[in-house]
Amino acid sequence: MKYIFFILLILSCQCIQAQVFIEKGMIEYEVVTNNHKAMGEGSWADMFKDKIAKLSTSYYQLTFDSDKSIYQFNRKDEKTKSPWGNDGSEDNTWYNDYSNDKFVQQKSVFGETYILTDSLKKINWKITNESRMIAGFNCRKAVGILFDSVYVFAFYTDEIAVSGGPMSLHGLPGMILGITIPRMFSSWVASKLEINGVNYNKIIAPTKGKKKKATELQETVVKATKDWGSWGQQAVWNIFL
Amino acid sequence: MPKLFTLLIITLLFSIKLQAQTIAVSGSVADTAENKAVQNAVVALLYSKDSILYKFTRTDASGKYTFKNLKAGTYILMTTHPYFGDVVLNLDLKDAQTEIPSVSLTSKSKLLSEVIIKSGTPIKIKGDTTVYTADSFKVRAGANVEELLKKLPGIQVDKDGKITAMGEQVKKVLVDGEEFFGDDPGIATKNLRADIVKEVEVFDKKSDQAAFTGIDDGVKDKTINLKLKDNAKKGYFGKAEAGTDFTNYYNNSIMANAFKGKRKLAAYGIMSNTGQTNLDWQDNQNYGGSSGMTTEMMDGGGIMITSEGDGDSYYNGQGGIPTNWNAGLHYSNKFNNGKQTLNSGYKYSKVNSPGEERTYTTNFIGDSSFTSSKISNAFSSKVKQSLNVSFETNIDSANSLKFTAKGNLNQTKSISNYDLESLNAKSLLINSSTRKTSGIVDNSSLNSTLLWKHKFKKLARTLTVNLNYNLTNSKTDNYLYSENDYFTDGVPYQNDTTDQESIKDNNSNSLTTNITYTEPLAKDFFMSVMYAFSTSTTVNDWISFSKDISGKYTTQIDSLSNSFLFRQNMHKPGISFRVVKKKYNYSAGISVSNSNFKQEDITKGIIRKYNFTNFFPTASFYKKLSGYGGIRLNYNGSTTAPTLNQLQPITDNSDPLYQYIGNPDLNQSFNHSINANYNFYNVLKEKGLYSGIYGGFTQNAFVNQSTIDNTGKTIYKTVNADGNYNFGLYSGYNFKWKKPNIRVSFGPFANASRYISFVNTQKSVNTNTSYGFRFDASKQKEKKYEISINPEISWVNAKNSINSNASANYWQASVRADLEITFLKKFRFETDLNFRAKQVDPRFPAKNKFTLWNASLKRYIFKEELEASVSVNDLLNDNRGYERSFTDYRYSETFYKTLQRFWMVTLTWNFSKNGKPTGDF
Repeated sequence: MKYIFFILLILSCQCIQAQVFIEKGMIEYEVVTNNHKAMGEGSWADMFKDKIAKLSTSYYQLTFDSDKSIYQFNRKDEKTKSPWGNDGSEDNTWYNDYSNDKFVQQKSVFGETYILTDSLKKINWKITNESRMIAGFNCRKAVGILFDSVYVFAFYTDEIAVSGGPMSLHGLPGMILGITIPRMFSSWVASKLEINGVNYNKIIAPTKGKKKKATELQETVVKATKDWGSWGQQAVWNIFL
Repeated sequence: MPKLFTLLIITLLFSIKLQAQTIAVSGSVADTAENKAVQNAVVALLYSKDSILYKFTRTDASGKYTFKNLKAGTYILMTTHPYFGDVVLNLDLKDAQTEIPSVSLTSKSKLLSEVIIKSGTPIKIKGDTTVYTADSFKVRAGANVEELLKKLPGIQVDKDGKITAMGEQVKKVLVDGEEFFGDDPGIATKNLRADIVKEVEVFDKKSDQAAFTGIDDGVKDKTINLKLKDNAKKGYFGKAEAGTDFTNYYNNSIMANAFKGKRKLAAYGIMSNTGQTNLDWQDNQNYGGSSGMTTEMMDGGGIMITSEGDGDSYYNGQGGIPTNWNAGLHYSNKFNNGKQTLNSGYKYSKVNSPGEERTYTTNFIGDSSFTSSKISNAFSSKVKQSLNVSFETNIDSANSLKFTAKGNLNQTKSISNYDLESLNAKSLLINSSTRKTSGIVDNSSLNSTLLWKHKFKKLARTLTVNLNYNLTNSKTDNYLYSENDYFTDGVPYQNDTTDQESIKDNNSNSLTTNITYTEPLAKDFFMSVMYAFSTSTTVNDWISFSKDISGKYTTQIDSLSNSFLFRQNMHKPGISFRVVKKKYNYSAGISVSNSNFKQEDITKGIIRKYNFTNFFPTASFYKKLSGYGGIRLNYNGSTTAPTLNQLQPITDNSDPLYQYIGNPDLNQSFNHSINANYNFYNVLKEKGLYSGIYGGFTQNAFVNQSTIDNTGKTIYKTVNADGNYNFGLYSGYNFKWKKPNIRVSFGPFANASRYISFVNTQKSVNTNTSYGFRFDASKQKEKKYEISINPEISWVNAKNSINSNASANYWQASVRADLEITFLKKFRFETDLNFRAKQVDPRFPAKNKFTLWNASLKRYIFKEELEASVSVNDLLNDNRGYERSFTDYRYSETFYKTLQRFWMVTLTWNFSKNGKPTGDF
């Protein structure tokens, strides 16, 4: 009996040590977009602002298992939904394979569904010594630049030992639990982490849609939207983030 | 937690090997307090110059880690673990044998540097916020905010514009609590002038601040908030334009908009005789207040913009050449953080229109025909004043209230002279008439609406109540003198003279209530219950006087005098259901209206009451197609009640040869309309297709019944008839011809319509069909040039059942071309050409090919502040006022005076401070 207790003690100690570092689970992100800021200034925008909720909130889930993850839409707050309607982006799926450095995404691009594949975008993260708590985890802030000029503020925790995050954001020494992209007027902040009862079978690459290399399609979209001004830029960022 | 692990010491053991050009590093991490290896600690290498992450790894069970393939350089080695404090070391990794860096246990962040607060300096500490009063720190005139910050104690700005406050780098600069363009704090500090800043606040960005901007991006950012002086958001913009040809033509205007925060005050004035009778669309947005526009969120997603014109006149080339004076004033403001919005405006316009017109008409009655010619000279002067106010308040998140009121006061004075002559088929005179009229019409109206919207706690459950009250009054005082001679085959047999004054006083009021309640029966299934009630009353007193011996108009003409009342009460309950799915949605509903009508001929004491019950079915269907596209189907039915003018049993003899008589037996008409359309656009391929069909037919349509005697005198009234319809289709394909970057669009269109009329008890069926093809090509390069060409051709068939001579079959074509070029930076050349032609018809010998060509050259002086331009309207002097038409059992052609060639020199001054007009949508 004493012997068993001793083993249990050792095991439990090891368990504590091991469980501190999470390698699989499901994180739910609350995604908030400031509709008023996205509309910009001007008399047209002013006219709409009174009629549109200032902030739209929706929830996305990232299911991850060591070196793979899948990120999908879950639900939205109907009261705050934006008036532009669902353009198919709610069916978007991001599948990331971190160890092989590649992604497979199902994306709605101007109403058509594509399967985009490419290697994961390398982001130069600048590490800061600021930190904040998100969903009970202490997170460190890092700053990156996407699409040449779009600043991304990310908060990652090293308690989750998977270098992933919402969408295809990755490359930090831990899981990204919070993101802000001011120029997209949006933030992604983890609201909960689930470890038990998570369906890991769904972490598979999507297959439904026209197959295309992401960088190739991005070139086409940039060309097609170049006359749209800031709307075109936002469209590119929204599609290829 | 950290207290449990008070002492954290990590031992790093380095072994560095040089392998070709790359270096490998390995080490281990241990908790020296318990002398145990630490597993899963993150060891990261950052470039020391910018802290960008180079590589990272985690320690294994024995606390060991290895980096391979490292490049030489200077790095920061950062070791972190949730339970331990961070350790940061500098690591200089050289090509050759690198020394093991000394282990430093000092914490990297030594953040708080001293804040020196000199006594007497205007610095306040409010909680954790430091507030500097900007005016107390002297900066040179025109200095920017960056220069101001350099003067503030505790704040440093380095040569790259990086700001440090209380020893920490400032991550954010807010302007009045809002983010100022993007992420770089330098944008705000370099671009704002120091003298508009009232206070500089320095604080650690807090959560309430995050909530205020709506974007949460970290709670500990050192932040500077620039509070602006109230008058900093003050500014104005406007333009003054003077154009003249130094002899006949002028076009002058001045417009200005002064704003202060949310308050806008705009005014304009126009004086022109070149057809600029009002503000154009863009100027109306900037200076006119665009009062007629409302926006509405649709339940199914999307935004509906409605724009109701406020009856402003725009010049269409007809009715002579107007001279006009316009003025307007607009005020709008928002209160309580935008919860309340006030919009108000006043407009004045006076338009003097001299007009000359000649019309030649050929009429067919049975087998015979006659031809009339009418020459008119008229002058009218119209003064319009309007005042509008709208006030909207969001009482709370569930209730909003909007009140709008609009008042109009118009007066039209007019004088006209007509000469008319009709010849029969043998070219012998059957009538001739001269007529002079003069009169004044005074109109006033008031329209007010109150809209209350309530959102219930349950999502999508709403109640909307809309009340509308409308009051109009119209007084007409008209003098008519007319001499009419009638002939039989050129031989006079009768003549009459009319010399009368008619006074009309028309009053109407209506009250309409609409209540709509929407209930979500399921997530994607909605029910709406509607109830509408309306009551309207119109009274028209019409008295005509003939001239007495003393030359005054005092003797009432009983046959031409009548007082009449028309009242309509309607109750209309309805219900509709809507299903909204991801890929499609559809709705169906029905309303039932019960309308009670009362007509009272007050003069004769005859009352007629009747009522109608109508069903109004509606149905719609929409299916989303993959890509940007969809199919839409719609049906709806509607009724139209006759107007009082159509009903009142009195003869309008203001044109003695063409008299209208009211018909009190008229019933309301019912219109069915249906349309279906398809559209598709591929954004990436930049091509699209749209097509649609539309159609409608009317039961009990209002049509004309004419009685024409053999002197050509016509008496007509409105009667009900079935058989009117209108159907059509359109389609267009557009794409970008990629290589030359030309946008092309083309497509066919077709229309068929039928309308019924009666002439001398004979039914006249008019069938019009037309079909054609349009093409459009355009190319543009921003700020360089824009060119487009748009030809169109169509074939028209107008068929009349009474006489084939009133039918026609012809083609018509038009070409429009536009060119705008900016060159040598300061010059802009604009030209447009409009060509239209119709197939030659022996019945219309007049010229029917016209080319209207306009051009202007503009030069910018002092950037874009001053513009000078020379323009020529109708370079070829080829423009003519000419129309030809086939209607009913007659065809006609009309010649009128219109603007022809003139040139003009224009000087425009654009002025502004802190603001600029909004451009095109």
